[in-house]
Amino acid sequence: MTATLRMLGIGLLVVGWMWGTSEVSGQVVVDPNLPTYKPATGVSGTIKSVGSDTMNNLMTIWAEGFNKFYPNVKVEIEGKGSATAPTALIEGTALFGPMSRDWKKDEIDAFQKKFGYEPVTVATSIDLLAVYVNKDNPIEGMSLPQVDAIFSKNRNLGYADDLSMWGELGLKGDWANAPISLYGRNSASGTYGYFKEHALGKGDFKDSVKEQAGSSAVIQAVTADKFAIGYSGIGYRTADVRALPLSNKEGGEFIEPESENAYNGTYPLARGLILSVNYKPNSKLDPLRREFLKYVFSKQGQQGVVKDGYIPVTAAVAEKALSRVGIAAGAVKKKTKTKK
Amino acid sequence: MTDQKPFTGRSRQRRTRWAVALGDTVSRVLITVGGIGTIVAVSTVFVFLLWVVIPLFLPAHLGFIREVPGAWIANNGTEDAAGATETDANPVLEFGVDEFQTTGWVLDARGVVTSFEVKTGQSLTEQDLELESPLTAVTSVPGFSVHYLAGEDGKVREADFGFATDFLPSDDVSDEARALAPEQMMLYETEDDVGMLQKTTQGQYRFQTLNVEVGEAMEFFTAPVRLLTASMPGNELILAAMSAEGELTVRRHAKRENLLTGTTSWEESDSATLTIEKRNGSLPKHLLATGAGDQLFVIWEDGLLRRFNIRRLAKGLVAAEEIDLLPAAEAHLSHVGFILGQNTFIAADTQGELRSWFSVRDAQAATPDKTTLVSAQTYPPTGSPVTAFSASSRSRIFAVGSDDSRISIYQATTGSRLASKLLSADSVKKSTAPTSGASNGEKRQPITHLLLTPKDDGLISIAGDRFVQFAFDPRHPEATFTSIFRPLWYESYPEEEHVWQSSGANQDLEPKFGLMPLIFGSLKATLYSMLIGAPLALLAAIYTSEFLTPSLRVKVKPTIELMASLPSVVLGFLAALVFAPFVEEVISTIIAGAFCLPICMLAGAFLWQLIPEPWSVILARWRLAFIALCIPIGMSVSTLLGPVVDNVVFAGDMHRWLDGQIGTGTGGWFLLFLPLSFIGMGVISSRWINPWMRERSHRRLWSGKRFIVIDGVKFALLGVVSLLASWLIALGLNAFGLDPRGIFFGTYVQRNALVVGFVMGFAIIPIIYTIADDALAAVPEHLRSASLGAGATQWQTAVRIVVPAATSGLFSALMIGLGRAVGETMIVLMAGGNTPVMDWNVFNGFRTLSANIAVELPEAVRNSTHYRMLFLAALSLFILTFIVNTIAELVRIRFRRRIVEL
Repeated sequence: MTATLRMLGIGLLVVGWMWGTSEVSGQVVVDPNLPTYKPATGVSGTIKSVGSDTMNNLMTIWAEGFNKFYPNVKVEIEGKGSATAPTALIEGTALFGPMSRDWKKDEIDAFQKKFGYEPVTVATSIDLLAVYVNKDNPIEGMSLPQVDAIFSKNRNLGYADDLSMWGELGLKGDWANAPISLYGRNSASGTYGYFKEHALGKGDFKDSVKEQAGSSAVIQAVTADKFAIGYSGIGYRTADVRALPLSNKEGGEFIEPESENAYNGTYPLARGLILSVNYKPNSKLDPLRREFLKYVFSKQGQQGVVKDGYIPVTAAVAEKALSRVGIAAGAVKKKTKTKK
Repeated sequence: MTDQKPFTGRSRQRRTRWAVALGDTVSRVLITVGGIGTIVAVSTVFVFLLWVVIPLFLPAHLGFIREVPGAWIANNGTEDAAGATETDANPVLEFGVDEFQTTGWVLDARGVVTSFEVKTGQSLTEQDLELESPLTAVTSVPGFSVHYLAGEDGKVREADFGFATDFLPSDDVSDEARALAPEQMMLYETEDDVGMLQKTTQGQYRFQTLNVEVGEAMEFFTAPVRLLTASMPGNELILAAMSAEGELTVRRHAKRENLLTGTTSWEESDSATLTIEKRNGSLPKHLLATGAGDQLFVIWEDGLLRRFNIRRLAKGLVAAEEIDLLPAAEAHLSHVGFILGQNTFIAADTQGELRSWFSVRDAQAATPDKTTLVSAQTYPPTGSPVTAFSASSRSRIFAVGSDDSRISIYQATTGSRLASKLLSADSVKKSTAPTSGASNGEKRQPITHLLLTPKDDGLISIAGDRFVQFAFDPRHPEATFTSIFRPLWYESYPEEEHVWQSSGANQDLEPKFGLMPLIFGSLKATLYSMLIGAPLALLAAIYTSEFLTPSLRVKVKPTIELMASLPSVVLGFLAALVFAPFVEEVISTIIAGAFCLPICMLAGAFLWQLIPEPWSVILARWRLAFIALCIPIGMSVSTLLGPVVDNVVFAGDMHRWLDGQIGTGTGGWFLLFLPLSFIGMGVISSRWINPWMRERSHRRLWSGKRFIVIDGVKFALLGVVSLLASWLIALGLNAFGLDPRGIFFGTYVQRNALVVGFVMGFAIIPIIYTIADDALAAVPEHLRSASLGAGATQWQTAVRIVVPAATSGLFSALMIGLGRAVGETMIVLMAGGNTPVMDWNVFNGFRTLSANIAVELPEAVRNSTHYRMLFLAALSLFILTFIVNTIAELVRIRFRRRIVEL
């Protein structure tokens, strides 16, 4: 079954490429204070990563860049959804668990049961979870309560009426009587969970949301279906779909899903893309994981983030993240508490 | 015995040659082993599935661990339990433990926090929060460590009762700590902290400390605060408080996050105040704000609830609804508390009755916000007044303690009681050492405090001066037989429903494990694909084996079998990306084609009859090509007819018609009854018209040519009559107010059962076709010859002789096709839309058992309820196919027995 799913993933990826070329936003610059990555010695082995589909391309870009420094390091990347990351880390089948949401309590429990400590998660970049419509769709933007009323049967954000037709959003002509066709992610995905929590106010998705196995499948469906609406990470934006500007409240100002709005915190659906690592407290990471994480938080690694359409982190955040796994200016963090 | 010379002159070898004997034995052993192996393998799969599924249905476990003397309860002033005036100065207001159950804390009304070791009950630290006045109300936000404390001074403060976890380097800990066995813990002091040190199973030293931080005071009233509630929806904080004088204040705060320092602060954004009048001389006793931050419930002791919508406070507080929570007049509400998610609350009364309530949207509701509170579940009563309540912080479990020392634990969604235990002296005595003697006496004390531990793995209760701990294992309370196969009333749903919604990213999601939508999806996919695939495959098999020349037949059969070599993932891929969008564009043409193509084929066959006999004999080998020509003709006719169908049947726009926006049900009924009336006319024609015509032709009243023309006129007339008949029926049904939309048709969704039916039909056609064709070919030739020799036509021979003789084979062909359709995964996964809805609408999607397993298994946490539910889905699939195959086999055997008798 895994094999078939992987086939599906590959197939969808291929189609994703066929369908459109990713649009690189040129104006995003990485923080100049980020360190430039310099290779170290003694790095070998296999980088195995299991987790988020949103971060699939990003992991590939990082791994490729990392491979340039260490050609003998093998890379295996699987992206079937954030929920697969904890399982893989617990079973020890992966070194890194890229995730687009935080760990759930029972996942932490399972990890803790096996290792005694909690997993470490570091935010590597910022994603703007975007609401996509077909490029021909004339709608200007939407408020979050409207998005909620389109996707959710509970309407927890308080929009008065259910929205099922484009006409109810003020579109004219052809669109006025066209039903809104909903696309979303499968429940394994962190994107699904994040969207449910933040855009639907923890409400339930409508039964009519067609669940797709990958982010590119959502984009592809929105491309093919004129009356479609879907959600996905900003990294999957293509020329055939439009990422809608959103406003927090009904009647509020529409905020474009652009990097400056992620930094100033105005875009309502911004989230961190995290890497989970099994890091034993007060220990030293093995060279492979240490160097990979250092690469991710280097200038080159963050340029990869920009290349994939996501938003890089600042030098301060990068330093803080590295210190959480015992990498602080190349030295192991000293113990915090001492014996009496 | 005399040696008789054999007739041939050669003596026959009477003994089996050793090579043959060996081959015989080897093959017998291999076949036996293989056969038994297959049975063992299948049974092992079954047993394995059962093994994973069975724990779903095991009951929860609640077991006594220990009772410890709580020195800190002594603050309660209950040393002499018999004392009459123990409405003491410092009752325990709130208590909690850390997730590893090492350290606990209690907060009393003086504002003193005492931490204690859970295992021994020994107090560790005592911290005075230095509040200016005694505390009167405490509230917490489920899932957060933050509490809000309100005092007699009318002020509210935020207090964070957080546990800090630290791992001490092993070379830094004391020798005493190093001597600990794994899982053991001890009281430990570092330079600046006192806490519990526990050695984990991996040999690390985990140090837990309680950190209490009290925030700034927020002024609410001048009078003492009586009731307080808080909720944190998204980036907001809502605090609602009521003073002893009945003033009710609701404040919304927006979160302000400083990215540089990482601190957060709350900024008041909105507020409203109202004075609540007394009812029967008393003020409300409970105040609850929902987790979504949209409702506030003010509840009196006699059960009256007044609901306020607090989403927009600018208009002030206006009551939206009043509801009586208690049907029995003599009962009083004793406890009202939210369960996880702060949407559903449990109302417990003094008679031990428990009910869950939540708000639902209802367009017919008389309330201004079109929302009303409903009571969804009634739980098995405790039997005596409820005195304590605790909701789990990670699942929808809650525990109540009652007056007679009984602890009961419930699952809120399913309404089932998971465990119930008396905290009686007996049960305690049995498990503790006999040292406690009879000191506890026979008295049953009311349970005053109850706490489900953060990981749902324990239960701690305080009854009088007794501090009792239980181990708790809820196992899989979300899944009961009822919750899986019966509709349940889920939170915020308007009514009971079958729902499958297994997971989400946040903890407070209510998992919905109704398997029925998935089973329904499997059946729907199978039905529609069999409807399309089975007739085509069977008719094709009959045609090729009975009517086609052998030279063509040997070419057609491998070609159709080649279809089977297409992997289903490719089919699914094509279906989702090419076929589904195409069908959406041309749906009315396809519907027209469903009727045009057969009619064109019939017309073609009829035209063939018009060809004069000598020519038709010469042209016989082109017959198939001639009939094949009808397909493009039929397609172009249906392309032309498509817009006409759209206009006449679907009021101009099929998608909008399906959506129910325009038109009436007549068109839909017309289409549904058209095939039926065609069949009806066919029956009439073969029953009455054909014999009459045959008789006339026998009596040579009509020439051959004339007969053909009359036959053609008959066909045309019958066609028109059946059109009229179904239109009349449709009009009639519509006049009765019946509409097929919503039953068989409905809103058009791009990935739907029709698309899957076509593509999966395509996938099962080769299988059914091959087996059916073989079965027909296996019918003895002498039967055919006899029939043809007796003067029957080829058609009569095929339908009355060959097909009945091959029934068992045809049936097994169908069943194998059915089995393939039930278990097919990739096509339905990619083209079926994966929406777990229960809806026969051809134009809507579905989710099958198999696709659901494929989608969700990678995300399921091993051995979680979800994981086991997926195995239950697999087991259901297994049983489903097992039943189908068994029935198929039984029927096949019956048919075969009949055939053998021939």
